[in-house]
Amino acid sequence: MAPEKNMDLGKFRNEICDFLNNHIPDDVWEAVAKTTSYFPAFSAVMTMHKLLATKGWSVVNWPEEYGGPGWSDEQRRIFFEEYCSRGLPMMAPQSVGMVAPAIMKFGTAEQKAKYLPPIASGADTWCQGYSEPNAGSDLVSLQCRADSDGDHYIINGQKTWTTWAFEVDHIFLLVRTSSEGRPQAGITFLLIDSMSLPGMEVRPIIGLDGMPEQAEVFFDNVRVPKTQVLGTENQGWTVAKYLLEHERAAGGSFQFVLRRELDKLRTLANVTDDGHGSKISSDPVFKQKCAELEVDWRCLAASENYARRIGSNHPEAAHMASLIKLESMNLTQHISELALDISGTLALVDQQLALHIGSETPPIDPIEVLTVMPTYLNQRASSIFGGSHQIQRDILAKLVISK
Amino acid sequence: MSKLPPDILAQLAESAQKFISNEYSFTHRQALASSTIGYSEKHWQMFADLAWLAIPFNEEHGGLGGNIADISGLLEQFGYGLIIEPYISTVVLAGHVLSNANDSPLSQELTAQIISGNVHISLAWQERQSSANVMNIKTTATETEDGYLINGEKISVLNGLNADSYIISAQSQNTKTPSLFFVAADTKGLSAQHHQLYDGHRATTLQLQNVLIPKQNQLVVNAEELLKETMTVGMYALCCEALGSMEKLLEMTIEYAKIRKQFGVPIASFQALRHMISDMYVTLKKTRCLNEQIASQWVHHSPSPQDIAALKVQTGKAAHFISRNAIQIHGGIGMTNELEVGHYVKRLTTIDGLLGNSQYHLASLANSL
Ligand SMILES: Cc1cc2nc3c(=O)[nH]c(=O)nc-3n(C[C@H](O)[C@H](O)[C@H](O)COP(=O)(O)OP(=O)(O)OC[C@H]3O[C@@H](n4cnc5c(N)ncnc54)[C@H](O)[C@@H]3O)c2cc1C
Repeated sequence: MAPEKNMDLGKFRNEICDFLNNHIPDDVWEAVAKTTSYFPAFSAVMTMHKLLATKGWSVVNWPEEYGGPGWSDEQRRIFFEEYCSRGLPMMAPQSVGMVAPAIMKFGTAEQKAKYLPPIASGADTWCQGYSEPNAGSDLVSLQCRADSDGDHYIINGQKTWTTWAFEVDHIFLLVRTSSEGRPQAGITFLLIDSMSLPGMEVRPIIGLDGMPEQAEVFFDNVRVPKTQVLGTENQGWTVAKYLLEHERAAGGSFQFVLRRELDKLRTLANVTDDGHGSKISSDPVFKQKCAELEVDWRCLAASENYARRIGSNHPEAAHMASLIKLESMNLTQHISELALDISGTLALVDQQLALHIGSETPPIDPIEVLTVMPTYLNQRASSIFGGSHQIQRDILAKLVISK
Repeated sequence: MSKLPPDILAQLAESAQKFISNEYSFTHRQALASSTIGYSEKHWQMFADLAWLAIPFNEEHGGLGGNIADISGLLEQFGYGLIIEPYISTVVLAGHVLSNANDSPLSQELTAQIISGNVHISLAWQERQSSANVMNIKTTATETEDGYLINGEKISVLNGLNADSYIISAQSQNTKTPSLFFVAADTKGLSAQHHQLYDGHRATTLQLQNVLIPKQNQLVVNAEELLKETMTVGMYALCCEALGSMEKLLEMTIEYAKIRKQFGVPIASFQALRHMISDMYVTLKKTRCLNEQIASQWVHHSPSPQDIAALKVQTGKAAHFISRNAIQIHGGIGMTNELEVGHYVKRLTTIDGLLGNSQYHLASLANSL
């Protein structure tokens, strides 16, 4: 869809709403109601991706030449507002927001032609193979090796915490191709076309909530052609860093996601008894905690809006990216903590069976409590992934103190 | 303050430590948690043989004559070892009711059976609308010629899966006060839906539809005082267990921070983490001081409602604080179900949720000031 230069934004919003209200399949809404993680049910993510692709809306942050809709900032904001405030699953960030921008920036013409269209359509899906058992916060110490063998590499080693590795069909990898010089200098960025090449093994990791989300990925003499390098050999760190910046600047939409979470919290409080004949929603301790979260939410929304206004080339853009990661994840965790606090014993029952999409097991009454404990447990990861809170504060300290 | 002599207490503590280090590996615990009954009958029999099940009961009923402070050390060990056997439900909660019920042949018989390890009894006090208010009871007991007819619903009945019988609180239609009734698990009209909790323990929802029980099954009339006191005892027991679990979580976290290296050094050398660990220590230590102070005064007077609420609030807050920091310091590995850490976190989270969580008791404290 090529928008008119000064298209009526109200009409634009109506078109988005009309689609989202009327064309989303039931299993996606079920997944929305049962989401307990930053990473929603993968099947629902891809259903939505393919559905949005039919409208040309699956990769709204991409430039038009690669398949983006060519929207203005304002249109994108409206889209995310409508999309996220309904709790709908975001497109897989690893594919759309990480590897794709890196390919656009560093890829050859062939790589762009081969990889970008199927990401846009939802035919190809990717996971991020950065972390290793001994290379987490200290990513540059990574040891997964790619040895040269003619026009191929032979990969040996292990990746871990790879989100959705058992759901997707591609992985992008950071591997060590040289041990000379600084550790950053010997890293290469590889694009792998399959999750089941000979010598590859994926083992899901079960999380605290009892569900698999991440995985270990093992490489035992896996052969990959050298044409799969993105950028140049031993220059992978430049690509990796560019991609991490994209990972952090998730697009200014936490405010909409968390607005909905705060509203859900109120709904929960409205149906939960306080034990003295009223509902928790009138409990003074709850009200105070909730009011504090409302203040935090307003600060977050204002910060996101500010970051969007100054854009990504402003000297404060990096500060804002870390600030928003810290504050959005804090608020996410605090909302899940308050939900747990007000649910009391009701949240303690393990209802994993009822949480599966299409499950025949009905949730225990009240249904609002179903997601409380798994969300609480799962969201402990929000201050660990994508650069832990400690690492974010280190980054900020460097920026702020050296100023 | 303890009633038992120091040598007996020392023996109990030693046998508990031995049991945990020799018989209770984490893998074994996980296997028990996912087994059909959710605990080990063999262990339970051992608890009976070691007289653990007898501690809080009067000597004339075959107990050791201890009090709540005498089980605090044992419970702390249970927390440290992440013991899944249903001690609190049978011995502490149901046990406390029976110790203070009318001295009838029935309650004597039940006490003897608990001590010998032959039965599990669960106290069913909580209801859908009651939150942690033990006096908020909609279940009714109507006197008839043949006995009492009980109707209602009970939730979160701990260890209901293995309970041979229940002690059920109900509003007596005659006296308009709560009474406690003994109901065998196979009584007609009683139906149970069993659940597993996130920490592996079991809890049950009970429906009572015209459940008819004989007159002598009324264990306590005007049970308000006893119900409240039982909550106090149960809350204290949970707080003791939590101390042990928090201690272990802190130990594991320090251990991990010393061996895990990033940037070429142990992560324990990063000041940000050192401060987190110090705060975890401070939190645990002050919670322990509060717990011990309350226990030491118990002999003279039971803790006031404000004191016990404050202890439960502080223990819940500490449990969350230590759990969250333990995961954070472990990083990704702390988020997995494979590691012990997460299971301690889930037990501590559950402990906060039982018998009124920190939110509930903070609100009751706020209203009482
Ligand atoms: C849910 C989830 C999804 C993930 N998805 C992916 C994925 O798809 N792909 C991928 O490659 N990785 C993924 N990760 C991995 C993630 O990036 C790492 O967990 C993260 O980088 C932290 O590394 P670590 O777990 O090894 O912890 P460590 O680096 O060992 O950190 C342990 C603790 O030490 C602290 N610490 C470390 N260094 C310092 C320092 N210098 N100063 C102060 N404190 C410090 C940390 O903050 C943390 O508290 C995921 C992780 C999670 C939990």
